[in-house]
Amino acid sequence: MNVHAVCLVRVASAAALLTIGGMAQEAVAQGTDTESESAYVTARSDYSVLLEDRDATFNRYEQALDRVGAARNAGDPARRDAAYAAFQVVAFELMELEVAVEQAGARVALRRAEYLAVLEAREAELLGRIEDGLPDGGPSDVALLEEWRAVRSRQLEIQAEALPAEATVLRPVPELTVDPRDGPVESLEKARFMEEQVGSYDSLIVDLERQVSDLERQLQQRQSVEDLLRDVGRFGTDFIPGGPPDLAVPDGGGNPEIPRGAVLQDPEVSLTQLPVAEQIEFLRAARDLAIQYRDQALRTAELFRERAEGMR
Amino acid sequence: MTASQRRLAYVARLVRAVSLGTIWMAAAAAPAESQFAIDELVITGGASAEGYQGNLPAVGVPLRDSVEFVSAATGEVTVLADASYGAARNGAFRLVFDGGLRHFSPQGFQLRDYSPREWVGTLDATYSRGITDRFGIAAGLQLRGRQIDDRPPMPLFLQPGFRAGRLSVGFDARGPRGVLYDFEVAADGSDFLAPEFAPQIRLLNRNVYRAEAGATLNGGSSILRVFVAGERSEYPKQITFDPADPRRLDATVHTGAFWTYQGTYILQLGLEGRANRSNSNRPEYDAITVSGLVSASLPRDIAFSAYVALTAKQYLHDTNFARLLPGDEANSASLAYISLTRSLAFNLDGTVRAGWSRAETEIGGAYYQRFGGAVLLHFRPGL
Repeated sequence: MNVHAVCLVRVASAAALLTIGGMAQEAVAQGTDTESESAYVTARSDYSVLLEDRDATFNRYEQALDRVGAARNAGDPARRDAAYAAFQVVAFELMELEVAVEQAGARVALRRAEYLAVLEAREAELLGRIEDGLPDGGPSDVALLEEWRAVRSRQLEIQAEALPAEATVLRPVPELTVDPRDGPVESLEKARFMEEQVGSYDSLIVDLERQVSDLERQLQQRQSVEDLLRDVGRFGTDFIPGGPPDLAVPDGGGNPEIPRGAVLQDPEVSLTQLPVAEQIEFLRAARDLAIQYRDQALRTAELFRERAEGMR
Repeated sequence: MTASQRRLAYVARLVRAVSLGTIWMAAAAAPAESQFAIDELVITGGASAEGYQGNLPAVGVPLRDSVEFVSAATGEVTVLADASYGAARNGAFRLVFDGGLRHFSPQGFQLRDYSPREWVGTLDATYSRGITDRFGIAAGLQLRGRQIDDRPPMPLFLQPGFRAGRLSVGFDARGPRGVLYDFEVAADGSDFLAPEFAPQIRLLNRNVYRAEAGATLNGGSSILRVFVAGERSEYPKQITFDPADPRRLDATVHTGAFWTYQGTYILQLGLEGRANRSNSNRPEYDAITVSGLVSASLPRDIAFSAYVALTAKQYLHDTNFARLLPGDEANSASLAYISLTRSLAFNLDGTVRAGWSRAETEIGGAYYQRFGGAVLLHFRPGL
């Protein structure tokens, strides 16, 4: 009976592991060192290029925003309109690049996991050959060991190249202010821009709420199982002393592929390695922040629209 | 940077990480320093109505009543607290307490009215540490205690009180292709509390030494675990009637496999086998257990859970003596439970549960049945 529970601990932890492990295992069977490395390097390169583009565009975005402010302060309607039009173009480019960077990052993570799985399989093969002894005419022990060291070294390099999370898609609301010199066209454009921001926040909120809802369902299922096993075993009516330890239950976090305690040495932490309750807490905080931004953007959009309509 | 700005930056990184699908967070977002945390706190209160059938002998119950069936209304209060302390370089320490009180009001006995009370408590302390990114170790100490007042006769079978301790050391290693290998050795001692009028309860005292090796194959949402364990059990108060080998010693092989799926629902199927051999031929047996566990979401935010374990057990030798089997009853039980859980308020879940069990008393081959329903409230102030 207690073995059920021991297994449950590992199983529940395993549920937190998303697709990378499974995809990587497929890669073991399908890929080769060269193909996997090439795919990973290409994905990484594409990601770097997009990241540079995104950063450069973000600088242009800030400069364009500054120019809008400067033009407004200068009192030149033509210059202001031109600056505002340029700003909108850059803002749109930035949004597109944000999406592209995210997608490229996901591809890098996938290729990286596949490549690591291939290296791991290669390492296992080399170790097996080293342990089994040398076939006639095969490479020497030293050569095999050198190759094994190279594979292991490459594994560590790739593991160290995990993508940092340095950017954000949850940006604060852009600061567009009511300028007394804005005409109906400018006010309407500003209203539309803010309404686009509202749409972006709305879609993010929907996505976060879906994730929270999924996790809440998982948590309820897990807690239901936990409570059932604990309540059944607690008073010892059916489970009594002398056997394996008392019932344990899923904790909702952790990675079953990582030996116990090893996760604490990992410089990176996956969200899915956290207990489900903590994942929910963080996602709720993100959703609340997005709602706050959405409401702020909506108020600003209404303000600009009312102003534009009042001028007609 | 203010606290709110840090929080904002953290959430922003998190949101981006979520949107990446791979969900990695930067080290800055992870707790790098030592920290203490209450991971879970659950307070449970409930009431149940149960029926008990089987007027059988039991070691710790010298009194016999003449009824075959009794019912009981039961109230219970329990507490679970799970705390951990972790340091990035020095491993993690985890402490779990689980205990409670259950009070029975039985109906149907003829000799007198009983009012049994059960107090139980378990304290688990575990220290775990990663040696490398592939190897980890863990050491554990478990203390269990149980006290029962006004223990009733059969068929309302309640285990006698005891004190028990368990020491364990475990080792995990990550192998190729995502397989996690584990190995654990443990020593477990149980000391039953015998009142003056029932010293025979001490016959149940038992010391167990166990070694278990297992492998877990992780296929993402689908996981398979296989294991094999060997046990050596000493019963210092039981004799074999063989002057050359007077104390009962058992050796048990326990093996099994569990397959689990966790996605939109949780499903676990298990198969276990157990073979017990002894220098006393009375308790020698073979047993097999098939089990299933499922949890799924129903409409109206209701979680459905069910657990079934069916055991077939066969003793190898017929005997006129009692087969005293403390610790093996759990492996001989057949159980079926279903429960429906729904959130009633913030941090408060309500559960309706029905269950049936068929288990041995401390005397092998003597099975009693228990069935009933319960209403429980689980309060989790931590979330």
